[in-house]
Amino acid sequence: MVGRDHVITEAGRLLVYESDGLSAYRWPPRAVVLPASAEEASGVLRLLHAEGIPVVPRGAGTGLSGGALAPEGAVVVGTARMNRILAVDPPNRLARLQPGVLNTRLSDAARPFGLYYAPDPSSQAACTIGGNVAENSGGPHCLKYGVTSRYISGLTLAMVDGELVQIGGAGRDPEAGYDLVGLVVGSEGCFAMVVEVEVRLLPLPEAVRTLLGIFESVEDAARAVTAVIGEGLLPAALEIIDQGTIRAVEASVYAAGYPTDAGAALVVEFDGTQAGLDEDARRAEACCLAAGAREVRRARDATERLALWQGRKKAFGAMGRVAPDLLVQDATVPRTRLPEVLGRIGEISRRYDLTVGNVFHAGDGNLHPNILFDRRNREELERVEKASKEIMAVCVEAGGTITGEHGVGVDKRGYMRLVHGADEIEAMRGVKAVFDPRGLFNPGKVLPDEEAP
Amino acid sequence: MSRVAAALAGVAPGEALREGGPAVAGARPDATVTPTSVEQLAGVLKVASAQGFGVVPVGGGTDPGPVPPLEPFVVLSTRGLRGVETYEPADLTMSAWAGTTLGEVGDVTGAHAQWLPFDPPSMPTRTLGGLAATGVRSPLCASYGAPRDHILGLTLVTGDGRVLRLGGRVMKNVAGFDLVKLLVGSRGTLGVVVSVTVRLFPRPEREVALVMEADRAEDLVAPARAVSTAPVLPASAVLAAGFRTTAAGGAARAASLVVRVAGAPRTVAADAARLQAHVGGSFRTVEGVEAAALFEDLRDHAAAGEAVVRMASLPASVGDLLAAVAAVPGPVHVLADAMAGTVRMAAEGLSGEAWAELRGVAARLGGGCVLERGPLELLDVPGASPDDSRVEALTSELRARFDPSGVLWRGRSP
Ligand SMILES: Cc1cc2nc3c(=O)[nH]c(=O)nc-3n(C[C@H](O)[C@H](O)[C@H](O)COP(=O)(O)OP(=O)(O)OC[C@H]3O[C@@H](n4cnc5c(N)ncnc54)[C@H](O)[C@@H]3O)c2cc1C
Repeated sequence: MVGRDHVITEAGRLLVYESDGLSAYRWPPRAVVLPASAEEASGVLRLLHAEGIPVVPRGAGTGLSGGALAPEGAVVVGTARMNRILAVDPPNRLARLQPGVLNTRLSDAARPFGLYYAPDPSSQAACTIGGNVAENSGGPHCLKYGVTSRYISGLTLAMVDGELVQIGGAGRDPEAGYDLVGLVVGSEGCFAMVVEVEVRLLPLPEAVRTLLGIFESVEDAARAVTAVIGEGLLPAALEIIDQGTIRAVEASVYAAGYPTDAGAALVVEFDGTQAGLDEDARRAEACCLAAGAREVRRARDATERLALWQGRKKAFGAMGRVAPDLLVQDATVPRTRLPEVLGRIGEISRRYDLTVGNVFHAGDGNLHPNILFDRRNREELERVEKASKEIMAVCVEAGGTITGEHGVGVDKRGYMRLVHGADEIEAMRGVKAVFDPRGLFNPGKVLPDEEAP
Repeated sequence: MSRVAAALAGVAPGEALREGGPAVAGARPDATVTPTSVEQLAGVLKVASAQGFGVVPVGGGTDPGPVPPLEPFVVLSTRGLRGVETYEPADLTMSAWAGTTLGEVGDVTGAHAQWLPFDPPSMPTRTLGGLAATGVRSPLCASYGAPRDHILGLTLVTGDGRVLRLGGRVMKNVAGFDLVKLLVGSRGTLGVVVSVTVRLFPRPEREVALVMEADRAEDLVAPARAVSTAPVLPASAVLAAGFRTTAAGGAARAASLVVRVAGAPRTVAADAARLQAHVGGSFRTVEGVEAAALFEDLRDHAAAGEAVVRMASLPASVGDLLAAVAAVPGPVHVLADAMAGTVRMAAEGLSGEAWAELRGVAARLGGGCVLERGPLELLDVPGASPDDSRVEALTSELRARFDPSGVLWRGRSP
């Protein structure tokens, strides 16, 4: 159906597929199939369905919640060969593509037309659009532009039995029927396989202004964020990097010239029409200084802009080099609760004697408290788990949630009951069953185990 | 007292229950219930599910749709549940009861220079619950996004009376399947929305309208297309026909293109200049109270009449849609959203042939054509519809999960 070469069963070649970005887990799949088209994917699913074999869709495997891990006996259907951009349609500002296209490749293809694809996860050079759709991924610039779901106008799905179904579509009436596209975006590969994607593109902004505020503490930086929003400004990005992360970056090959004695750095970026940007930047600078910034740097050109962003962009990479393992955490709180929640996270990390580096989308209140550890040290691993759980509880208590962009996967199933009641979880289970009555699609993800009666 | 009203007397005592009530798309309710608590409202749905009568949720009553519900049914008004629950200006979020009108929301948020940037017809009298239930698109969605993008959470009472708290009050949330998206736009067929949390936006410091007029709408299609492919995104861009801009000091021409530009004063001036340069034609600039009045008039334009039709296609086909509505006999009012590629048309009377013709054009373009309001006979006019059988199956199964006894909006598909 897909060619002998594209069905992987040898243990050696399966190794690549036994884990994803959630590095603590290894789940070797039974086999991996790599179809090249919607029709091939449909054929593969039909066959697996007839045999009653569970399926796990997989993009690039950069997911951080274990969504692409294959439970016992499951076959991975990967999108690595479904990597064609089918059409860029500048007059309608749309593009149609296969799910295995990498996020940056889409923007590269749109750029000659003065357009780009807005959602920009930090992993954008490595992750696929199919994965972005499945996770409803965000990114630094989602503060102004919104997350993936806003830009997906239509999808072609291969249902669990292989039937190809088209939902949405930019030219169709957006108010007719249920918003199935909205429902499938963020469903973490648990409903159906996405085999074709239609996205909306935006015109490239005319100009960009980037600032870097240096603060004594992460709480001050968080207060500056609230002040900037309170000014009525809408920056494209507001990103915080804390002291632990700054030090990791500066000690690495990615050294960005951030002062290592600073408590935190805040990247503020504005984009849009040139004329208004300097005024926006001036007002944001004043907010930073009023919140106690010791210094505010301003990029004068593209090279300087990259330098200011460097510490943010390389944060995960640099942190990953400090210890054998890095648990990239993810939670969202109301923006105004950031200072308090960050303080409590600091307290938790000290109590469990763990190194936690915070680097996050502050404008959206989307935290990434990243915990360094060594998975071979069982006792430490236990502390990591306990601290994680407490951090989640703190975020939920502050009116937040257990994941803002990385998804539930296998990692956070156990936390689902912190934010959802039994009825809400049953409602989600019911919706999943509508798409996948036999539970063959990415089983064991997202929903917690059923409670013993 | 009717059987239905008698059954409800136990759960919705006194003031909350009234026999009869205003018709919904021509159908007469047995009773109108206006619960003042979520428990009461859930009680009504439980009784309806047990006894098997229909329930039609109604908010502001501004957008009932053309299809009458099957009888017997009760109208379930959300207007007894109103007011702001929490408003945190610094977080740009608000939670309010579903019966709160968008006008009331605007009054509260306006005091903090914030707003909900939507502009559907009758905006001030629509309710927040109705906004969630219809997911209504409006011209400002071009730059701000649609209700689906900014409804962060909602509380729903399902057809069988379960109370579900979906989503949350944070900007980004992927904790589980996105049932909020399923609910937004489900038009009361899955449950009754009782409370909504929305993301707000800073109110732009300045807004101007760039206006271009012509005798025929078709003469404005090229500039409208130029606006929608310009390197700068306006707040909205609409093309109106049968619309008089005299209120804004203009000559009474038959068609106008109105581009709304919003932001900080300097940005607005620069954006307006860039749009002018890109489009080439000459715009007249309208500002201040005149601009505000113009936006309000346009918001409600082509929304009233015996028949109101909504057509959708791609932005590049907006000229084809305009040509199709121009061919409808008799005077029509038209509002085209140049950014979205949709057209709304209002007419005093629409013949079966004209309606079939419009649907034919939409089908050829691969788009949509929906009767928002109009004579029931039109719904019997056959028309081609694409094969969506699997989507229909998914739709009815989802509906059954939320409303197992099938009491909500009987007789209507979402
Ligand atoms: C260094 C680093 C930085 C990151 N930064 C961000 C960030 O800023 N914002 C953010 O949101 N995320 C971020 N991520 C997380 C991750 O990159 C995203 O979740 C991404 O969308 C995953 O894409 P992928 O192609 O790798 O998907 P995978 O990991 O392969 O799969 C993820 C999930 O999607 C499903 N899936 C994949 N393809 C399909 C398909 N075609 N149909 C149906 N289901 C499918 C899988 O089953 C799985 O559940 C980061 C990750 C890393 C490692």
